[in-house]
Amino acid sequence: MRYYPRTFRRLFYKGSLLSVATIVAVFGLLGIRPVNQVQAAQITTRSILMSTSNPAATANSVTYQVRFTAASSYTVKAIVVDFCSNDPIIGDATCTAPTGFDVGTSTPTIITCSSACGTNDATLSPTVLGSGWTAAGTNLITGSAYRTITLTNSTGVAVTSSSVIAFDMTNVSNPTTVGTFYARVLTYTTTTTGYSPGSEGAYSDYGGIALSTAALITITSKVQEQLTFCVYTGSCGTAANILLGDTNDILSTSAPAVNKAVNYSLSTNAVHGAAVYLKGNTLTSGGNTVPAAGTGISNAGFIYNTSGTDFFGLCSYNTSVAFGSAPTVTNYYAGTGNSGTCSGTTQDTGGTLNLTSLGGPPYATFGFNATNTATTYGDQLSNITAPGTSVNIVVLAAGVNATQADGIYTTTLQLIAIGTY
Amino acid sequence: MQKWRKIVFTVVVGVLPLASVGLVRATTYTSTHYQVNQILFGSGGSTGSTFHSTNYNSQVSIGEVGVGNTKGNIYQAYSGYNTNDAPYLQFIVNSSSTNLGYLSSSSVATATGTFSIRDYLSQGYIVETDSPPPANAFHTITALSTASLSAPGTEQFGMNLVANTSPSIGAAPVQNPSSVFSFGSVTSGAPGPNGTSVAAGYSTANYFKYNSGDIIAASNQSSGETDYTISYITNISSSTAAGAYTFNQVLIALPTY
Repeated sequence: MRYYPRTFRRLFYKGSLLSVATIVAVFGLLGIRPVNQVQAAQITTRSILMSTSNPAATANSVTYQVRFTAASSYTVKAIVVDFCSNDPIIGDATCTAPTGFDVGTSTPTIITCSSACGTNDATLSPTVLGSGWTAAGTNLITGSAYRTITLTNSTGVAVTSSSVIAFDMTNVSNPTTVGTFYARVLTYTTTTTGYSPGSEGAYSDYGGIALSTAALITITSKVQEQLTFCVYTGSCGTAANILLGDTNDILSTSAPAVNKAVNYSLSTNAVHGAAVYLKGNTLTSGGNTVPAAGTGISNAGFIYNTSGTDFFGLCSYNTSVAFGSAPTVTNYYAGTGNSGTCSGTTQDTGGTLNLTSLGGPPYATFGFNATNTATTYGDQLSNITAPGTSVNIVVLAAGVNATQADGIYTTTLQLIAIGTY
Repeated sequence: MQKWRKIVFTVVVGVLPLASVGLVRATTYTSTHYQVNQILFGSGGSTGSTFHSTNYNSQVSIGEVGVGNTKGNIYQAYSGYNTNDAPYLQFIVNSSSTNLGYLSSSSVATATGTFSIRDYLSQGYIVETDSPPPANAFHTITALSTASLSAPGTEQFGMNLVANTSPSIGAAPVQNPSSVFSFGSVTSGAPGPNGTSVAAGYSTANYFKYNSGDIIAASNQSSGETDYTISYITNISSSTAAGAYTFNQVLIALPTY
């Protein structure tokens, strides 16, 4: 046994203690400790975008986009995202599943791509994962709901510290409670992760993310049903009392009399639009009538061919649309049966009646479905299929032949508008 | 006796500092072989211990050398004893259900909603609105795609996040406890994390806009609580389809860590 002087032994002993104490103290004060994972580093710019934060969103209908930047260079072959309600801390052995949460059953659907993601999800371009990844749900919560998603790819993808990794989980169920929950994200260089909370295996990079569901702000309101309908001459409020004929209010055998003074305005917010019905009889004098124009050949309207035709009818057209569309006029009231137009007619202002008032040739045509107009609700003149505001004209026309009995012929016509809400 | 003093010396100097970090689990700083959780400089305070009784709990802080956030383009650090090492997000949308009753083409209908957000250890956050405008099965109220004044008689739906005078609704964002600690903004172009920014049109008084998917608030750093008020306007025309309309606004907070 070698002998050292007592003083030397004391110094050696003190030095050893001091060295041990110093090493331990420095590590202790700085909180430095060896780690299990070689080169493990924290992923940066990490986030999870939710397609909705609604806790009542339809189950397995929510999309999460997981996105982060790798922290080091390696080949990633597996990615684990574990969703916990308690914390995002890697190493915590407790991970409580968020209530109602599901990553997408045992076989979550995912979208991965690297470029030209196009219809898959253009927001994933450019990222590095590419194709060949499969996903599995693990850590069963209840039923078919899982807490953890693991993506694997046996080929893997080489990443560097600037590589952006992103993928969509497309059939997630949000937590059904309002509030914060977390994700623990880890990457691996093998497809066998060995992950469990508190014993994460040999992971490469890692990071925590906080997410939150949130309540909705709900605003309800009502728009009441509206229908504004006016039949008039000049302006709304002026009754449409029409004297149909020449200067002396006489119908002629030489040409029909045309009157364009009757307007109707229609405004409604009815979702399914509105219809205008015509109700009444043809011109009548005691027991005599001027024949109704009818519905014409193939319902295209009564075709006026020559002078001396005995008829009473009308056509209608739109003059302005403030909203929506112009009414669609029932075919035999459209005036187009002879390739003419109702809008091309001109008002007879007196003097001798002539055919040019018919706006042609080709002349406008007129219709009057006396069968329908005599019914309880009348005959449809026009309709719109959505809310709209318009002003329209009804052109009245009548002609007689030499055998038409004399007399004062009158009729009272009603236009009835109804909305369908 | 002297041997005991040496052992005590070793324990006090060496073991106690180790124990002081034993409660910290999360990782923040790493190198090839080591990682550092939370670092304690100076005297007083504790990174992990608390004073607590049956009803109360308190963390300790005495004579802190420096507190607050230090950040660069990629990394950031928080100084102070009472720091936390876990990412955090508090996002509260105060659930509200407002019934505006029957709308009129001669006056504007208004409503407000509120939400607050606070996040920690992040590069900031954005808040998106992701809901269609008020609608029923047959019609959707026309949303203001550009910031516009309220115009009764014209079909409009819009919102903003500032105080308005016409109509008199809303409030500017409130930084809680103050703008020293909280940084959320609704100003057009205000930056969020990762190159994002607040959409134009939601920060001018009396001008309203709505576009689903727009970023309506953001912060480009960790932030204390910011309280936001959303003001909504609805106008109808005489042709606005009749029926009941519902608007369920889903707000999505996206922090980036």
